[in-house]
Amino acid sequence: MDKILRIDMGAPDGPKIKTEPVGEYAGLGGRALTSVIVAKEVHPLCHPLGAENKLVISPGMLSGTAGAMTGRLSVGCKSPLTGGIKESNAGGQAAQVLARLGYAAVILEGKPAGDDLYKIYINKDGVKIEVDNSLKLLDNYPLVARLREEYGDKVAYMTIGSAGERKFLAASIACTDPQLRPTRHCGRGGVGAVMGAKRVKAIILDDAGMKMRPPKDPEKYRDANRKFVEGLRKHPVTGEALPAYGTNVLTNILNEAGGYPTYNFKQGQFSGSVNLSGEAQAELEIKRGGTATHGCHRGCVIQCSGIYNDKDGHYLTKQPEYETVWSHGGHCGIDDLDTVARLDFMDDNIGVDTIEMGVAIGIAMDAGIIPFGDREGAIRLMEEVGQGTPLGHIIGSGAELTGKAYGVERVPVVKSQALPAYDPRAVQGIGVTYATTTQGADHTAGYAIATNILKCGGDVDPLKTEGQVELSRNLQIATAFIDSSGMCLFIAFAIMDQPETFQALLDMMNAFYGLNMTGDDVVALGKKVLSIERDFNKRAGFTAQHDRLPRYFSTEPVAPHNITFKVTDEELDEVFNW
Amino acid sequence: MKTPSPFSSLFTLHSSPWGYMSVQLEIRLFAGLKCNNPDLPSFGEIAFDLKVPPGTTVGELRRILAIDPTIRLLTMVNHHHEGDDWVLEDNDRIGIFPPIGGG
Repeated sequence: MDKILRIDMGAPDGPKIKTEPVGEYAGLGGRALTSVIVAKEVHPLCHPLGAENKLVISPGMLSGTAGAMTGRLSVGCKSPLTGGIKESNAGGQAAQVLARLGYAAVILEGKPAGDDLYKIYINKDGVKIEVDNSLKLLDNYPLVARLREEYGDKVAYMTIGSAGERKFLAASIACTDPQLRPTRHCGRGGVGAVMGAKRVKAIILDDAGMKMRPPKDPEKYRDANRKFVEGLRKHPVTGEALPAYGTNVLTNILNEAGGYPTYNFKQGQFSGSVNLSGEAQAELEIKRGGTATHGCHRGCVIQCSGIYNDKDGHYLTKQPEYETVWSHGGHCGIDDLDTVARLDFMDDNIGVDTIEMGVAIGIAMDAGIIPFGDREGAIRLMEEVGQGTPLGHIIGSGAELTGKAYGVERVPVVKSQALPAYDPRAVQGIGVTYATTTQGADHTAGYAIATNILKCGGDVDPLKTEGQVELSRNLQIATAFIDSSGMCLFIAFAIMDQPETFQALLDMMNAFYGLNMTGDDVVALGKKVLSIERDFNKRAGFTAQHDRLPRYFSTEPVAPHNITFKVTDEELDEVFNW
Repeated sequence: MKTPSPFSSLFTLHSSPWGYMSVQLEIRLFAGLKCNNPDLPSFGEIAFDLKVPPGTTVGELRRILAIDPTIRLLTMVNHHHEGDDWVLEDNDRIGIFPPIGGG
């Protein structure tokens, strides 16, 4: 990945292409590269939908190689939702293909005048940018179907649906999976709105004629990869639970732990949870001719995705993730998987973050627009988002805006981004992450659930404050590294519990780049990324007061534990004290 | 050949010597776990009530249910994580999980 592609979408005579050597950014990838570039090149006070913002697309450091699990792509910018720095990532094929084309990053800059919509085609011969207004307001599924007629099936597509064109704050960027379904989304933070503001509808990536990226030491790389895969297969989470049930296996355990946010975070358990569980979902998928075991990118050995068919056996959507089943399910008081699946399809098609959308719909329920549990009502609200009605604009711009528009008092957001599927009062460690991560309320940024609830990588009591700051800090540092590596984050379960698998990952990195990285170097890179992001946010106007949960989490207890969030402000301010 | 569980004689519904002071549990088994003890009425099930002798621990319950001893289990008693030595009490709600993950 020795070059960077800059596309000035606002150049006076039309989009201008510049390819330059990677230069000072050499060796970086994924989140490390997107955050370094955004922090250096984007004015922190710019309007996120304006010409000064940049959309930085970067495959991870090991993407495009023969290594397992290396399909992760990062997209970075100033977020129109949070107003801070954003890194949003996805699986699918885009990272593999872009990396093999030799690009460390594609940077969309500027903003065109006028209303034309562009598609960008990148192959081994270069870059072609064309106006194609026939694509206007196409949603992701029909959009990819249309693009396939022109570009075929051996490419990877990155697209925005109507939500991105309309610049909704919940708009996502879709990456196609190996079967060309637009189902792997850079979901959080409105990155799709930035792509839409720059009038880019689709990026088509074609690596025909390119080879796998060659390691400096191919034999050592192969050997390390083999040990890495053995470790993933051996670990019960990555080798058994995730391939069998997908991420929605979490519904039952979060509910049992009393941390499953229900009816807009009013209680920690949902009576309908068993109907929404990963076990029920897998059984239904298999019965209907779908699957509960599917890889979102080539090289995935965890296979946590799946295919969800309708009752007649026709494709309905990809296997919904835990976060989606929660946001459209228990958060809204809906206990029907078919409704959740339908909403998941609409999220993917319209191109919106399933978490932000589900939470916003739950806020709409709390506001009385529709009642909690109203399945058809939730679908109707999503239809309004897809049609771009005034109510659709409100809901499509997320939980905070919806709550403000309707005078809802309890809106679960941090830095304007909606909380995901874990109540911070019953899982204090994830509350620390929600409050302090640079990304806004984000669970993957420092997934304390692993150690609080799943007892992976140690054991920290979820109901006490002891150990939570250290846990969140360490996980945020490690995650910043993994987000840069190109690896799917779920390798974390295996590398946290199995030192030999962590070593295998280091050996892969060292064999590929000719380095001698140790665990200390992993920590150093993670800290560097976080420090750069924190600095950008500070320059964008964020203070310690933004590293807080909404006040009601500290004053209003949640059943069944009848507990509030008890980590103090002083403790939260210790997370980044290095 | 069926190997009787060491507790099998204790659980015949009409003849348990602990019948009047046994501990009643509400049990839920998740993510592929099942009751593997053929001497229990709940054999093969994942959601059932069970009476156990007073003083039964989480670890002993696992043996009663004949769950594969090589699987590292996570047990919640009344929504709290508890270890193998935890003593179960009347009307406890038990949730048992194999290692799982997601995010």
